[in-house]
Parts: sequence; C-alpha cells; structure tokens
Amino acid sequence: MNNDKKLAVSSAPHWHDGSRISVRNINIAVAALPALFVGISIFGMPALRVITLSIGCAMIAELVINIIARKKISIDDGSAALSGLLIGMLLPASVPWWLVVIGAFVAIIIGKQVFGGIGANPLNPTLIGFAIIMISWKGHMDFDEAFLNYDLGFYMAYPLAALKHFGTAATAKYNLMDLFIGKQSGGIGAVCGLGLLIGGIYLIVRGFIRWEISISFLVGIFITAFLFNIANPEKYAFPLFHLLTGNVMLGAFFLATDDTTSPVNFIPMLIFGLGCGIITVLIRCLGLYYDGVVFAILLMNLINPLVDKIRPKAIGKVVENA
Amino acid sequence: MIKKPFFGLKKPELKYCLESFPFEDIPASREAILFLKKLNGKSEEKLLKVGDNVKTGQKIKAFPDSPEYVISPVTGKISSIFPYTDALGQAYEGIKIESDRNDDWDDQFTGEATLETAIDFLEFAPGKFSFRKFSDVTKKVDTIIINGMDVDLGITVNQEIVRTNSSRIKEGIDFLKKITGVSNFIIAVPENLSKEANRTGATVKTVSATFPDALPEMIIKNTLGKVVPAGQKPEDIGVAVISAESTAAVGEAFATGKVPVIKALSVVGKNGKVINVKARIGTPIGDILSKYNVAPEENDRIILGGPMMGTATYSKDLPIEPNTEAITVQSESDSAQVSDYPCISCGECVRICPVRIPVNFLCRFAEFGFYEDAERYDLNSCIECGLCAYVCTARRPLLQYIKLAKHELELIKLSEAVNE
Repeated sequence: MNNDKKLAVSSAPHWHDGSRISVRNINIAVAALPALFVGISIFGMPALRVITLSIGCAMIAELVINIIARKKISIDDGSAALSGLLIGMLLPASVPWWLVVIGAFVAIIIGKQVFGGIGANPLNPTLIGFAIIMISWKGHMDFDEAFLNYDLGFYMAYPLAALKHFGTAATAKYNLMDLFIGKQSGGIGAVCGLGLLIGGIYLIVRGFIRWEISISFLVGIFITAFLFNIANPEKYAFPLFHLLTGNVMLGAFFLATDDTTSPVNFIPMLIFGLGCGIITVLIRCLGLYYDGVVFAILLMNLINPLVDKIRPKAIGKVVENA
Repeated sequence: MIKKPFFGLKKPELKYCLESFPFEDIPASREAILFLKKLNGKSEEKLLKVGDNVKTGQKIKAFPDSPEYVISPVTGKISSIFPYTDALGQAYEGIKIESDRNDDWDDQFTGEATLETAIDFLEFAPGKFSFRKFSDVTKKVDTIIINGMDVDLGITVNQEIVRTNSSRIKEGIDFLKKITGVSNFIIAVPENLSKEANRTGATVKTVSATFPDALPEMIIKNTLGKVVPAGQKPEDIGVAVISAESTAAVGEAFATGKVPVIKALSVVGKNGKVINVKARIGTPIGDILSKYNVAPEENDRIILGGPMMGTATYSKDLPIEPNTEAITVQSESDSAQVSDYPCISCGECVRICPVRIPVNFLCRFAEFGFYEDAERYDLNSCIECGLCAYVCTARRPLLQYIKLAKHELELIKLSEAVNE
C-alpha cells in the first residue's frame, strides 16, 4: 500500500505483567536449593549424582516425546527439569542409576506426556514416577536398607519406619531440632525441613505457590496426628514428629502446590490441602506404608476437578430453576 | 507496561491516571474519513457518489432503507468511497471527504430538544452514545449514570471534561432530562473531581482509581448495588451509562444548534507521556501522531483506546472515530506477546477476575470451539476488562478466546433465527 512501517496487530490487552512458565519453574527450582544443598552436604556426592541424573533424564524424556510426537520442543519451559529435580529430591542417595532413569522417564512419559503434555496431566508427574518405582522396587527404595552401610553421625533408622515398628517409644531417639535441620534418614531433598520451609516461604511471598494449600496441608497433618496421639499416645506419635519427618515439608511446599494438579479457588484449595494432610496421617498410622505423603497427594489430585467446582457464583449469573 | 511486583502474593493493582492534562487543539486536516455501518442483506443502491458536496454537520446516509448515518465533520467534496471491514468482520462504507478548509454549517439540525432529533443527529456525536435505547418502551430507563471516569488505563478525556467543562455537562443533563423524561442522574467521578462534579447538579458518586472499576458494569454494581444479569445490557435493568463527553456533546448540540464534530482524546506516546487533544472526527491518526513527533517503528502497535481494552490497528491512515478515546503507541518491547501454550491452571486469572469467571475452564472450551460449553462457564458475565490475559502465566490470549466465543455464539444464534 505504501512505504509505511508495518505495525503489529493484536487483540486486547496489550499489556502483560511479565510472568511466564519458565520463570515460575526456575523460581521453584531455586527455592528448592537450600534443602538440596543440605541434602547433598549430608549424603555427599552420591546424592548429587542422583539429582543431576534425574534432571537430565527427565529433560531427555521430554525431548524424545516432543520429537516422536512431532510437537514443539518444550524443554525450555523448565517443567520437565523441575519434575526431574523433585524426583531426585524424593529418592535416597544410594539408589542405583537405572532406577533414577526409570523414575524420570516414567514421570515424564506416563505422568505427563501421554495425557498431552503440560497442563493436561491429571496427576502430579513427579509423584507418578516416584510412586511407580517405590512400589516396584521396594528394596531399593527402603531407606533403612538403602542406608544400611552408612554412618553419617546421627541415628540412621528411618524415623517413620521406627515409629511404625516400635511405637512412640522410638521417637525418643530423635532430637526434633536435628530432624528439622536435616539430620535424619530420608530422601535427598526431603530431610531438611528448615530449608524447605525457607524455600516455601519464598515461593509463597513471590506468589508462585498458594499459601492456602501449603498451610492447610500442614494443619491437616497436625490436627489428624493430634487426634491419633490423644487416642493412643503409646502407638501414635505427637504431631510435630509427623510434620518434621518423611516427605511432609517437601509435599506441602513443592508437590501438593503443583499448578496443574491443584485447585485454583479458595475453598477447594483449603479442602485439597486438608485432605492431603489427613490422608497422609491415615496412611502413616493405619496403612501399610511408612510415609503416606506421595499417595495422599496423588489421591487428592484425583478429586481436584471435583472440588474445584466449588466456586463463587459469577457476578450476573442467572441461575435457572433456583 | 506494568510488571508484576516482586512480592506477588497480593493481586496486582492497575491504577487509573488521575492527573490533569489540558486539551490542545489539532487544526482540521485536509481530509476526513468516515465509516458508515453496512447492514447485511440491504440493497446496494447508494445515495452517495464521488464528487458530492457536503457541509459541516451534514447528515450523510448511504442506503435509503438503513437507519445508519454519519455526520460530516468538514465542508468539502467526497473524494472516494471504499469498502472497509473492521476487526470483527463488520462491513462499512468508507467515505473520504476532501476538506476545503472553510466551515459552512449545515442547517438540517434545528436544535429542537426532542428524543427524535437526538436519534436523528446525535448518534455520531463524540462518544457515539446511542439514544435509541430510550425509545424502547419495553425497557424503561429510570437512572442515567454519567461516567466521569475513563474506562481504560492512561486515558484522561472524560476526567478532563468534568474538570474544565462542568457547565456543559450541566446543560447536557438538563437537555437529557427533557428529552428522556428521566430524572435520576448520577455522576461517577474519581475522588479528586467530586467538587467539579457537584456543579453539574447530578448526584455525585465516587469510584475508586483501580482498574476495572470505571467499566459501566462495575460502576452500576458499586454505585447502585445492582448487577447487570449475564448477557444483558444495563438498559435491561433500567440504567443507562453515558460518558461525560457524550453528555457535554448533548449540551453543546442543543445549546448552540450545531452538531459537535470535535472529539477529545488522549494521545499516549511510547514513553507513557500523555497529551490530551481535541481533533475533528475523521482526522487520520497519522496527522495527529506527526504533530507530536510520535513515529511508530516497525512492529510497534498503534492502539485505538487504552492498553487493556483497545484495538491495535494496522494503519496510520485510519481515522479518529466518534468513540475513539485514545491513541496509545506502544513499542514492541512493551507489548504483550501471546503464545499458544496450554493452560497450566495456575489460577491467576480466576483470582483476578472482577466478575469471578472460571477463566481457566472457559478458555479451554473456547479455544477448541466448544462455545456452548463456554457459555455454561459464565461466558456472558464477562465484562472484557482484559485482566485475565494480563496476568496469564502461559501468556494465552484469554480475552481473545472469550471475544471469539461470544462472536461465534452470536453467529450461531443468528443462523438459527434465519433457519426458523
């Protein structure tokens, strides 16, 4: 038409607040670093091996699926790397390399990509990967067996296993402060409650995860554990012990808060978090497994679409037959 | 572009510009371009031809059986007639008038204050307020809200008119009372203009300076406590919202006997600098931009309206229309770039939506063409403020999906009506 400069045309709005998925995922990964550093400093180089292998495998799995499915390469959004990181954080440092590879591939392929990739997965991919290898290779995933030949200067029995076998009496051997700063047996990134708490608060303040889910998760654990403890103090541990052991802190701040698999409305978020907490303690106290966090979150993921229907009425909505 | 604050737990707040920018006059251009709406299925017989002489303020109709008309803002000769289609596919007859630089006023408009005159001559006045809604006997309007706020961010037109021209608004209210019979007038202004608004004689209500509280639906909700039901218009609950500029235009038209042809608008440059100008309707955008040395580069955007609700246009040759509130020029680095990423259900849109729509579900349906399902998820409650797409982590064009769904549903309903 003429020699004018070409203008960009688009629909409103023409402003954006600058947030993006990759920034979100990088921030979550950064928030996991304090707990991760503590884990690596406790368990040493084998722990670093697990973490790097798991991140790498998750990204390769994503890339492979992208290529096979002829989709746009999506490893640059960081979600595969984050899933890999979180699986690594759940695993014991002594786990064999092939188990890490299987876990990462299962997480990305069965957990996420078969459903259509990011945003379409009904269950948290990290937890799918972890749960499948945990059930399939019990021996390798048992922390007491895994750390049989280790002596890291603190009581090496897995706290939740000790609790299950010996009742509350076993908890006397653990110092709560030691548990909080990470001197316990467990997953690489799950042992240091302090680091996870710092990371979680950072994420909440920055608005990357929702406080409703994290807080109600912890409250759910506290209340349920408290009730069990009152009913039978000999058999069931006090709430703080439950909060500081196993994957609770990791679950509350990094796993349950996963965007796609958690609700978005206020009341559903509270229900979701509380449900995770309650089921976790139920599994720990009455179930077969030592730690119920993984299964509790997976179960609550399933009812996520249902609870998210509890939402405020849109303004101006006309309700028929009401 | 306002970025997300570092501490992002709180919802981001976008504030309206409340500063005062005096109006500067833009001299009349050599040409004026007008767009006359074409109605589908109407005859092609035209009342216009190239070479016709028109006078300032003259009513121009192109088709004998269509009620649509435009008002010529200049005196001169029609130099070309061309087809034009807007972003939503609506067809228009473009009329280019070459001005001879003298204002020879047309005398068809008598200035007699009746509703018929307003419908006949003032529908193309600045603000493009439609007076036809008052003639619908089934929907009795009992309250008129004068919006002294500007709907979108960065625009200060209506505020400036309330600040400097409250006497015209008062005249406008008097004439509106006379022609519509409505006696309940409310003027909605930001806190700092309540003194000026008081002079208009209408009941003064203040609105907050946070976007989107100046949208008609939000003003009705916050000042009257009434809610416009989904899919309906304010008139359906007996309320009409008219801008301060339109009110002043009504006052001017009936007081002076001339149809106003000067439009007030904000020009927002790339550095965010605001200039308020008064230009004739039909003035090409390029003429105004070149006066203030605002030169858009390759891939910049020229937005008619503000950054949240305006439409980015493709050419500097397009004109100022009666409802153009602002020209916002944006550099590429400041503009939102959308992506086709899937929704990750982070919930930012749901939490920021002023009318509490489940945007995450709605836009999934809209994206894949399930428009009826989208309607079940409160599509029609949407007031199109654009906040959802502003905060979207995946940078999805959410408002575009919503507008698409609304448009497609309208087409479906139209074709159903034809088939019956």
